[in-house]
Amino acid sequence: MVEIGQISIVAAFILAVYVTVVGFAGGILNGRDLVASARWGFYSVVPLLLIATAALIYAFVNNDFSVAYVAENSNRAMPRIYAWVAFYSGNAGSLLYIAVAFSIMASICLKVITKKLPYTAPYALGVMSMVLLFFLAVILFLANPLEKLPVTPADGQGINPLLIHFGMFIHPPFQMLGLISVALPYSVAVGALLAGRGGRDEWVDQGRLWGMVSWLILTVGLLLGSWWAYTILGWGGYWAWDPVENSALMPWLAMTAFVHSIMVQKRRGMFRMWNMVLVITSFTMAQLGMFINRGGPVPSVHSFAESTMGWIFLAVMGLTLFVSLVIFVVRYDTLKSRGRLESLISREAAFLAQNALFLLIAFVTLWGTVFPIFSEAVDETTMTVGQPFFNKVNGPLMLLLIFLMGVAPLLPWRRATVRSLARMLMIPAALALGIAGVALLLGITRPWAVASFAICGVAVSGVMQEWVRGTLSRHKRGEWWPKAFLNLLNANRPRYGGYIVHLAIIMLGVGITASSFYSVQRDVVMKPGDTETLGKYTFTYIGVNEESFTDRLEETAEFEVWAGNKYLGYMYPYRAFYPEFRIAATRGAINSSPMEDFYLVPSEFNENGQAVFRALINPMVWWMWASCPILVFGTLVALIPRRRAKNIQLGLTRFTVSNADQNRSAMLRTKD
Amino acid sequence: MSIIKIAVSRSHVLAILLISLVLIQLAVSCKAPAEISELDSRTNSLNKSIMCPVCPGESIDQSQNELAGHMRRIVREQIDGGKTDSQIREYFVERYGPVVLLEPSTSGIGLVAWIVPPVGLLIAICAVAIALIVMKRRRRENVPDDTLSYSDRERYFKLLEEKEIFGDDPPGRET
Amino acid sequence: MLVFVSIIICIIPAVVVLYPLLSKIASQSPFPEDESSLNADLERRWESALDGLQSAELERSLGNLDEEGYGWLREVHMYEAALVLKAMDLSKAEEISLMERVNDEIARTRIESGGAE
Repeated sequence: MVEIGQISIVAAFILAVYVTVVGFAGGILNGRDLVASARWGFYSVVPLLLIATAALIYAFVNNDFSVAYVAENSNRAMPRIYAWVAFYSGNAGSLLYIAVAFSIMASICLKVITKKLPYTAPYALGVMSMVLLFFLAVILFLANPLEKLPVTPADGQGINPLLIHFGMFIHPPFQMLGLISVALPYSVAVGALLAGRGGRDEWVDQGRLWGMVSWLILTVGLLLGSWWAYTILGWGGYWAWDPVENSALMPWLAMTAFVHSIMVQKRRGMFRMWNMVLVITSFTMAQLGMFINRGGPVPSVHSFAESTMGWIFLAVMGLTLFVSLVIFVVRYDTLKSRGRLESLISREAAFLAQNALFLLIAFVTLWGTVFPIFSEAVDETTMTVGQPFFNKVNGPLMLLLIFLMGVAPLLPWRRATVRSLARMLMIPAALALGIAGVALLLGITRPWAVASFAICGVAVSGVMQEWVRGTLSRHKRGEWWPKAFLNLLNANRPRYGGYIVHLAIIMLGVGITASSFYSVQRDVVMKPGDTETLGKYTFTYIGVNEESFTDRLEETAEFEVWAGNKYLGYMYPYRAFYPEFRIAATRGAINSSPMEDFYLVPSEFNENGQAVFRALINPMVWWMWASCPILVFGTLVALIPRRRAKNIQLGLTRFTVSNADQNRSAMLRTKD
Repeated sequence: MSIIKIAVSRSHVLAILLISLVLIQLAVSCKAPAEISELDSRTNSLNKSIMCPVCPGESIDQSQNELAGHMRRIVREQIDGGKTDSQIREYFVERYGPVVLLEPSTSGIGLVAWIVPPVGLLIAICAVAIALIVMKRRRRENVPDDTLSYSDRERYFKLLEEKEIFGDDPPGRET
Repeated sequence: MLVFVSIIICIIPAVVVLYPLLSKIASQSPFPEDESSLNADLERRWESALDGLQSAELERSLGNLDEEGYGWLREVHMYEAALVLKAMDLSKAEEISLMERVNDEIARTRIESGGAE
């Protein structure tokens, strides 16, 4: 079975080479048969990689330790379903996962763009298959997960115990998928450039579609990761500004900028050059992310073990960036704007400001992440750049962003008069002051927290204002409230879907603000029978239950908890110690409500019966996780395509082209 | 000034109501946990600013490591013993070097770390301003767009107006 | 057994890849509409003009746009729509009919949105 998998990988590699060469050749020579052949070749890579994946998972499930990767990442004690997690938990396996996941996603993308962008598609195909080719080459020549060991060990080393949690079934796959999915809008954009068809916004619809798909996957990956860190890692936090986390955040920031500015291009034919640069930047950041992930130069909790791999990714990233920019410069002339900026007070201008802010945050994040290397090189002192730095620096910038998010939708396209701008800003400004005032009165005095809540309030008011007014308007016509609201949503899906996403982001922002500023924690020493309090919570330590397994020792504590007078029941925080890995995995017990989370986690259990526990109260964390489904829903709403009433469609492109049509006077053509 | 004549319509009231609701919830949940001791609070924030030297990038507050636990105890002892925050940090820096602090120092090379973000913001603002001004000045690139001759344009607008599309008063033309 | 399976793994993709080259079905099917053609460009411009008109209606009903801004935006988008029609060499009657339908559609949007506040 393993050998079959290995052959599949070789076959996939050869096929990828063929597809790249023939795809580009077909595009250049306008050979539709060549292109069709390349396309089918690309689709065929999918079953081949699925076979290889199946071979690897089969090896895991059957404890085939003759395969080096299986021996490194699992053991007999591992529960069988974790074979899926073990598959991508190591370097080589994760590369195979990325290759197979990307080939599937890219095939779907290819199918769609072949129909919508028939003359751009061959070049986009070429780019996509080069991306795939890179991964397959690394797998085949550097990190083959199906490589065999000369001597079969009796048992494997086992999977990292921190990975034994059901969150690990979804977070890493999503995260890795998100990073590589940035290649999709990139391929469409660069394919258009290569095809010489970037200048008339042909690729914008597809660029927006795949950009949003990629953005969605990246966002969900980040949220899942935060949720997993919070519920499983037992330190009560959800984001540590760890280098690997940062490397996933940066492409997300660039992609968020992109999905907004692509709207301007669609609407006005502006930002043509900028969007190209932006999508190239996003992909570069995604590649940088993969580099940092694979044992880059900055130490991280998340890194894969091997460190030599990283430099290849860095080199390829540099090469991709260089080549992309060369192509951009060559095709620069085709990218002149169609529209003109009519006013500095317009949605276009606001989008540009927002883009700049997103990229600034990405840059600052990158700066903080690589600063240790910088300080080492320049001054020979290594400095650490951790949470305090990023919170202080990125916090205000993100607040500015949320403010912009609240205000920009109120600006019309093209032009707003100063008078209408002032009128529009008066209400949010008044609201911000009002909220700040109320907050201060109610005892929230920390300045950044107050500012943050006020600005979130502004953003919410912007969205609510549109919803309420829009619904009221329709209601006047005689529609029943809920129906009016739904019709409003449905008639303007991209806009209102976007608002739903904004609301989700505000929920996230509120949760982050509240839990960052108003979290309380306390470490307490307790013996069985002791009772402690934190805030309104009272918890009694009943005892600890020890259970010994072949690879670990589990100590589960039992608590009875009250919130004021209300009895909350039992909570069971536990700690598992893995002697082989010398890791202790603690799992907190969480009592969650929309207002706050009460969080108990064990630190240590001593022989004399005493134990140290940490109790935390984290306000409003629930809002962060609740925002995720809302965000997904909003994105999907925004993605549903618009159906134009038949009678006002031009219907020009419904029919295939005849020679006469091709010879029509080119009234609206730019100078090529 | 007509700006002052803002009609407070029903929708505004509703919006304000909604936001107040959210805010009240915020206030209640943030107000409650004010009850840990000053010492505990200091301990926590100190712990969050010191790195565990053997764990990659984790603070001693975060890390489960034995050394981290040991360091947390030292911090607590020193706080109980009356040392100030900066003295405690100095203590660790002496033993492990400046790398043990989770944010760069504000002197020497560390200062560079702190300066770059605000400078970046300044540059970003200038860049956006310049870009906007340049974009505004630039004439429409597609001259062919204006190939509708004057007479054609008049004919079209007359067409549209005849169909009573614009209503009573045709608005002023774009200058 | 292994050899047999490996041969299958290699043969099937090879066949799949060679088939379009040999059967030439792709080059014999009608040309798809070029995404850079005049027609496609006109469609895009038309869509964006209509989007602009509908969004102007919406913004006005929401109160984000005052009458002057609304009127200006409407004119701008109507002009863009007119340009597209001009480039299409339609007959006068066809043009008028299409523009009328556009106006009906926009008026419908306006009514649905509840009209101006």
